[in-house]
Amino acid sequence: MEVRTLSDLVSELANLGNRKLFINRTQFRTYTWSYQQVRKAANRVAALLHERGVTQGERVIFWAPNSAEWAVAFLGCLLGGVVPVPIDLRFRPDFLQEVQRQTNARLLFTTRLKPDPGLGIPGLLLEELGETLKETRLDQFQPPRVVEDDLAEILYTSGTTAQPKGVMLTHRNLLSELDGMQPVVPPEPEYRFLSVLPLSHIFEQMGGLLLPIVRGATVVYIGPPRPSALLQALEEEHPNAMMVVPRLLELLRDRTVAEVKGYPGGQRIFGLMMRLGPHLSLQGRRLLFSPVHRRLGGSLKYLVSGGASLAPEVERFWEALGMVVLQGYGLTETSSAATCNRMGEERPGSVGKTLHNQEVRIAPDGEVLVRGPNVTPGYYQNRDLTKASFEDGWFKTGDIGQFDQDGYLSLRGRKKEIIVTSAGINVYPEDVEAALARVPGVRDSAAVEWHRQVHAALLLEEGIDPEQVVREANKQLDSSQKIRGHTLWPQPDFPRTPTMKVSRRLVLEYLKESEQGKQAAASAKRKGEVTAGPGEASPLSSLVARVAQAPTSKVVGTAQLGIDLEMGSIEMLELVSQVEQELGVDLPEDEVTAETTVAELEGMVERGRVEARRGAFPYWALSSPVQAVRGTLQRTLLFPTLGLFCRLEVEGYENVQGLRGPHLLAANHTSMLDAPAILMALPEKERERTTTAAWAEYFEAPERPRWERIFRRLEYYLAATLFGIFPLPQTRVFRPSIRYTGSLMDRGWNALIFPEGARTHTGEMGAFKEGVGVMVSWLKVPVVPVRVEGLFQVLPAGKLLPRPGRVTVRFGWPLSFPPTASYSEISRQIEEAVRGLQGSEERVRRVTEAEGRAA
Amino acid sequence: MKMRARIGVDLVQISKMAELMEDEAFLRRVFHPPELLDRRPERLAGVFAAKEALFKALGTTRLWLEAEVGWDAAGRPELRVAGEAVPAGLLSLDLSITHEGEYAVAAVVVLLSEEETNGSQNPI
Repeated sequence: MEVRTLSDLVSELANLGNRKLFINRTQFRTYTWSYQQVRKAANRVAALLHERGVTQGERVIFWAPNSAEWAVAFLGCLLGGVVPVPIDLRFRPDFLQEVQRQTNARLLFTTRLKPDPGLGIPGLLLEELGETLKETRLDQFQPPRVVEDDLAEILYTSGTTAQPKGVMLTHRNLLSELDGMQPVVPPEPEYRFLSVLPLSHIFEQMGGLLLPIVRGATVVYIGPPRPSALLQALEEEHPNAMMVVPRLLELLRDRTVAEVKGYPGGQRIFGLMMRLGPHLSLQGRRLLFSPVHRRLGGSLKYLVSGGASLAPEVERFWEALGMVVLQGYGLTETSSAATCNRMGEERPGSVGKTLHNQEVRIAPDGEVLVRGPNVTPGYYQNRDLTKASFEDGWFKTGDIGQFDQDGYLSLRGRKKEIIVTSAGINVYPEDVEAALARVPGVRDSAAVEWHRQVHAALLLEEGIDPEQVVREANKQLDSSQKIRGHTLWPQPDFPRTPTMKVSRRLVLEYLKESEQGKQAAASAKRKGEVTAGPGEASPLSSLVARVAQAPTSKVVGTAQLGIDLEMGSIEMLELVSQVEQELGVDLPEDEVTAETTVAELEGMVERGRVEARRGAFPYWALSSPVQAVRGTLQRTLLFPTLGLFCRLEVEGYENVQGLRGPHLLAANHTSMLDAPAILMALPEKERERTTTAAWAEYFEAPERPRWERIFRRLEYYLAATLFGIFPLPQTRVFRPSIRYTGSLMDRGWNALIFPEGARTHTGEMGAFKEGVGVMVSWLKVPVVPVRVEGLFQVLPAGKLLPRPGRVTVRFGWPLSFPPTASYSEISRQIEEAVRGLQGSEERVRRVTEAEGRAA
Repeated sequence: MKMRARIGVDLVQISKMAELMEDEAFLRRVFHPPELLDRRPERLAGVFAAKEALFKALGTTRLWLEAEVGWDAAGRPELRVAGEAVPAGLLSLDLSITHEGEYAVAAVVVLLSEEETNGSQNPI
């Protein structure tokens, strides 16, 4: 079938069958979607929209972070001829309300992470899309016919808050852009994209979703783009391509440089390597900098930069390391790129050559004009603006540029005074100035782009604190618009245009001149000094400063969180959560109190790092050689020995046989032989895929004498080999363990856990810890209740020699819980199910049947 | 029987909670799944304030997931405690939550039997 629209493209997805399209990483689990599954789900989305009365051509707003569900819903809209209107998650509800007024959307795809924006239309949570689609009926649904010039989507990436402007893009626009991009994409046998930029923008949609689909590639989603999630995804998913904005490349560069500085002599060696790099081939550079590449997953090679102009030194830095940095130029109105650098022909400082199916020329006044099948038909319901944006069929970009003799475009600035931040967000100076005007004491202001950030020049009344003014104004601005720097204007008034408007251009020129003056003064001063500048703040102290909203100068070692930094409970929890997400260290939240000092906190983070390194999870125990050894040892040694004194009877075998998908097995704990007995009772297929949780503190025990620690370590290796155990801490820091268990389940493993936490000393079953409820809720897996009887008589806690006896292992009906179930309720129900498995066979049957009906 | 009442109150800025709503990891540290069914910021701020008020009344460390706020059929909030957060000699708990404009406020009263608390590790 010829692909003439994006609906056709979605229909064709099934051709790639079981190839992986999406890898969706969540906090504790990772889910994969094949091309086939995405195709089916997209069809269900189209049917769902139809069922909800959303007809062809009607609009649906998207307001949620990137996820596989976001992409599936988007593709479903395209398939069904419904028009998505994706909105940046950072925009405020009043912006959405204005968009809704213009588009009259029928439905909102949204997220649990945002409050209801008050649009007065039904909302669907993308987190629950899977559940919603299960209830969708497919029988009466036939996707409508979509043609090339149908509207594919409307993008509100720019425009002032008061007057958002929606760029219309048709199926023809987007497909022709894909066609134009094809020759620019370097050949690779397999592409794995990491998606970190918002899908609400054309750049990520095109380069990070539609182009990968055309290429049969895989796309990895990481949920809210936080540093630790990004770094973990790089290390674990090994992507080779990523769409980036200059800000991200700068952040990653700074982090790399900071890590290098951490090694003695590192900075000098790195400097030498950087000088050597450009003389080597791409492969040579990647080899030379392999430690850096390893930290980025080892495969990352293509960094496609867009959204804002990339500083040449940042581009050269990454190129020297052996990355391919591709920079292009385009706007939402041109369906993303109009020009792009090709691999091997890139010129730093230039945005490349015109794509093959487009035309770009320079107007007499220097403005860049674009014409082609990728150019928008105009702005949604805004004929005047559309008319003003075109001249003889050419789209006027508002950017000033020039071509060199080889056809490479370079940009020289902008006609319009839009501020483009280094995060690639367009900010209108009018929005910022309007917010400042509402703050008492502000006489006038000018917002300009300065160091690719929003900078405000202020004229204030006597005695007004500029810091306070900026804070007040920022409260009214959304996170992308916030003022990041300010200057108190030294003269009585701003320079003005003949019509008495503030001349932002002259304000900016003044800023540039005064900075040059300052730099000159500073370098003159530096000559007389020996020491470097002020010590850089550690990542933790800048985190503390940010959460406490205190100046970094106050965040000193002796400062107490609650007292000196005035942090409340909520800020302290926020801090613990941020430390987890940005530094990758899980702190026990009840140990971070008002009296905790910054120095103590540094110590806790450092200890957490050491522990994380030491307590590495035994992934090796799951490798196939170890698995083979385990199987052999179990069959030839463990089970026969166990059989010498245990007569094992198994009941409810049918409840575990042929059980599909990963699950937890929750058992009562009567003896150290419980795990071997349960493993022995399991069907062989199930046993091979089952690991056992063990008490982490037992194996670590740093307070014990040295010989005992070594002995316990050996025990640990033996148990990991024999039972595939993994450490599950009883203390409150159990997130890493749950994450590990989640990663096991993602690989198709099951886990056996003992929710009482310790062996019984009386033979009676104890209460289940709430932790099991937390684990089941976070991992979203079914639970098989297991009851062991008789082993307490064979080998109770405290005894060394077993006595022969009859042992029964009973498996109950698997239990599943809705995501809204409380932790205590889940634990209670599992505990009851295990209790219910006690006693006569008759009772077992009754209970399992009753549960079967309940499920 | 000698009894002793302890009271705790707390005030939470609703806009602060609205900001933190995007941090799922934060929410998981504080709230139980049923508490997250209704995610209006004023509601979450109220639940947070209730837990903080409880910990203040008890004078114990903050074990957020060991306290859970629910609503009865009449719409009255209820507070449940579990695990280490249960104080010795606990007789009853009462909770009231309100919000207006920028803030949510909660007050918790804890009634303890004094005999049993003597010598316990709780400073009550």
